Amino acid sequence: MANAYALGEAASRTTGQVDTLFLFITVVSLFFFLLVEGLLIYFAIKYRRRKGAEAAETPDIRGNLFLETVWTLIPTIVVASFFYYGYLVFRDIRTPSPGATDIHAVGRQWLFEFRYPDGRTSINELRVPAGSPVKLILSSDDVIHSFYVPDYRLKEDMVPGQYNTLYLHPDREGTYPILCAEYCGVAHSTMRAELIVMEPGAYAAWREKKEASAGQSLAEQGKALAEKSGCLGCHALEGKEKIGPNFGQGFGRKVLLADGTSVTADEEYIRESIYDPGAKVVKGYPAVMPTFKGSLSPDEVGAIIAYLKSLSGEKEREPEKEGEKAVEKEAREGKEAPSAHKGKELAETLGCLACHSIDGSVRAGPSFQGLFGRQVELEGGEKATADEAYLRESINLPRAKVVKGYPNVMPEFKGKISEEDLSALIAYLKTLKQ
Amino acid sequence: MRDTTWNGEQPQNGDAPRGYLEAKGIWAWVYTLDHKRIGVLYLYTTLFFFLVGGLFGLLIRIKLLFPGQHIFTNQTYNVLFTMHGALMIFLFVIPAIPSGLGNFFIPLHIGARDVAFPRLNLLSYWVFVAGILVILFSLVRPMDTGWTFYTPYSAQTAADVTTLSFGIFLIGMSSILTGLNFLVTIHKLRAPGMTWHRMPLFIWSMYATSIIQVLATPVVGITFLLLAMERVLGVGFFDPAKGGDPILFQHFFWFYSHPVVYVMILPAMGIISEVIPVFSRKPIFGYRAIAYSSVAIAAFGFFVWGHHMFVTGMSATAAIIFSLLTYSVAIPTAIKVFNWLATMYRGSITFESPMLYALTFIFLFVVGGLTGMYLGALGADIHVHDTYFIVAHFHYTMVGGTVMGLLAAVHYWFPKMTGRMLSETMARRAWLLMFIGFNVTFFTQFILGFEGMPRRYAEYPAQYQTLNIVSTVGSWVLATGVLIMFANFVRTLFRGAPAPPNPWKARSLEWQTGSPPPTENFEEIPTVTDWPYGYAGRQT
Repeated sequence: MANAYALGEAASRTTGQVDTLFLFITVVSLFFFLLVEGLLIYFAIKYRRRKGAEAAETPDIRGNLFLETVWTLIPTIVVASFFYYGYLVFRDIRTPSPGATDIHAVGRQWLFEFRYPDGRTSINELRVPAGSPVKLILSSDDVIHSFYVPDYRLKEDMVPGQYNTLYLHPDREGTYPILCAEYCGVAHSTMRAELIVMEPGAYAAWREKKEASAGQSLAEQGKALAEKSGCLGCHALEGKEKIGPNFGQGFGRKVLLADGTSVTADEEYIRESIYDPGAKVVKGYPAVMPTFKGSLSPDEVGAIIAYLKSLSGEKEREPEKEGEKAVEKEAREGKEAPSAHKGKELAETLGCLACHSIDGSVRAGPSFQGLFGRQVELEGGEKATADEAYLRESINLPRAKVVKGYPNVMPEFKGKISEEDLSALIAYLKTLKQ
Repeated sequence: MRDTTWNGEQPQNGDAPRGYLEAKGIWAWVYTLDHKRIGVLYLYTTLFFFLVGGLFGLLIRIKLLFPGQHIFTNQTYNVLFTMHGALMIFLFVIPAIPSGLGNFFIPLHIGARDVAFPRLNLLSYWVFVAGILVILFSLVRPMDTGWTFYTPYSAQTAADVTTLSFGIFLIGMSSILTGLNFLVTIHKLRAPGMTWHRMPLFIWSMYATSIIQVLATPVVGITFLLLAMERVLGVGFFDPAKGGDPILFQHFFWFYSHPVVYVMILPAMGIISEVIPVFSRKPIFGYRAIAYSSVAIAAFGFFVWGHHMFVTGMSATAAIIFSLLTYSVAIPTAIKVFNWLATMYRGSITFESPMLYALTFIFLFVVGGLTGMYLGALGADIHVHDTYFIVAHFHYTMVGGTVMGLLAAVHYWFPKMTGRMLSETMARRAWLLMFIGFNVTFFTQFILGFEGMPRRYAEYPAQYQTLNIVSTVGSWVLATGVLIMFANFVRTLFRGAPAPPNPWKARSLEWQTGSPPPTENFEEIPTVTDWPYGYAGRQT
């Protein structure tokens, strides 16, 4: 961020636009600031009553229609210009960029996870080539977060149960901080990531290297899910329609709804229609689709959307291969990764390390280093040993036994984590015992 | 019997020096139906929480001297900024002027013996106290959600959100009852001859304020009930996992909390409209424009809440409409500022402490208002939304605006309320320190915000440290000024020189009775024949 305010090429096209808007408002406001404060000080000095002097006779001025009209109209014009200029920049920020690469960004207490069209994910690191626009599809797994890139002058909230979109125009190479701007709990201020904009050649080379480890693409996952979840029973791909609208050519189309309004079948519409099918029913179709809330996770809905897009001819661009943590890659490449290894991976992806250090330093929670097997004093005063049973309980239901001196803020993982993963995490914690 | 028809002349007043403060003992306060005593109770309570909230603010600033984890844990920091916001807003800024000074001065200003419903008034105060007790009880598991209570976080945290929001629910009840009481009082109890356009502008602003309190506060009460149902009974209003919508909470919350910033600022604007003519010895300029602009601000204020949500994924259409409506509030505000300036033009101005604070209000509020121009512009707001820019803007309007207005009023009316004159020397010293300290503390935060430092950050990237240190040092200067001011209050209560009935030679009705006023305010209800701003002519 250090160089963000230096003159020269802007980090993104939005940077320049927003800064010019700021400059415009600043110049106009400065004029009014100097006018009002200047008059305030000038009147205070000029019309002060001097000590001991004969008091002045003050005129009986009660108003002046002309003046009052002037200073009603001028502010009206000024704020109208602010509004209009602000709107122009906003319109540009919101205008979709054709050919943008879709990347899903998910906020989670307390990390950012990025999911690329080729199915891979990365944590707290978003790598993109310079010069190609990116469409971020923002959501959250828990509470509201906000995706903020100060150098781009852009932010948009990540809301659970909703997709927001944000277009990035990475014009200049560099590393830019991504910050969470919506308060999300104890580690809110350390929920930070990096946007790495690479020279296209270097990016291609880097991707080439990663290509080998690519898994199933997001659209492929979506296809499998659509088949598995029975979508195709009612939605044909193309040709003769079944009960619901065809999937092929559906995405991105404007559709007429039963209530007479129309809506664009974009990500948010599809998500809503999967979770709450009765809300916006396309005209001419019966409102019979069941909700998939609870049976399809937000990730899975994201995959299905990618699949629908791939069908609609909105051609998925060449899948971007994306950065992974070394561990993830190793885990995928290794034949049978040891359980502790998987635990380490989980500790990173679940966000444990945002609050629990592995080097003994104190963050929001006790450090993982040397935790296993240690005697801990609990909030109530009693003691407990951090054995397997204790850790299992503390991950599932953290609020039952809180270590003295630490805030009671850890989210519950019961139901969010499988038995197998739980064992892997504990195996990992064992390796940190000293 | 003396002729009590009031035509702007100073009456020769021979009231008992203790006035309404005659009755002694704690029960004379607990059971009092006198609007003046209830006003004083509110003032003591709210000013106490001003000091407590200020202490939390100082601790926040101390923690932010360092970018990493220092002094407090991050969780403690989160509790500190939550309590700073919640106490300052709900227990100080909202009630201080309306419930405290409004109670004391509305009946005096309109020539009434009390408010319309004195028993309801006493009930309002004790409901307010009950709310405070519930809030203090919630500190057992202190809140860490920020004063905005955003779901789903507030529905999930282990902190005691339910208790705290119940406390605020009670405080909202008290606020509704007070607003209702004032509306009826202003409609029904004006002295003979006091037409709507002879009312002091403070009354116009309190009238507009009361409308907002009565209409908007029920919404936040209901919202907190829904939140409690979600937390306790598991009903999914806001939790997407249960079919709810977290953004709905924000709509509900800001539908109350945006109009309520006008509950905070309108009464202060009313005070400025009183103080400027008195110390300029000149009639207020554009009386009707100022009066109607208060009502306009109250009305427009109901339609702009969406500007708190520009980055929540709101539809472009809604965002554009809310941006346009937001700017509509700027116009009546600008009219007021120009009218105050025009009142000073060709005046005969003196700078006693009430005037110093009133001029400071204009000076700082202009900065708060102009920085609001960035926030109303969609393209600019997206960058500084949820950053220190907002924090600075809010403090310039609320401290630079509301608190300076409150302090102008307290210095202006202190002789009337207590019968004693404050020390001008101490008042000026306190003012100078507060003015410098405030600007150093908060102007730096505009820069921090533009440079991208998000609000509510316990830890921050190291490049922001220098400005944070400057801001923290400013907060110490500000705090020193506040302490000197309170020392002046306390000293004066015990040892201040006795105040004459009308030390500032003001013409509104409260000054035409004793200092302090007798229990039923006026020996005989005055008859009003003119507006209260007839200051033109040879000054004495």
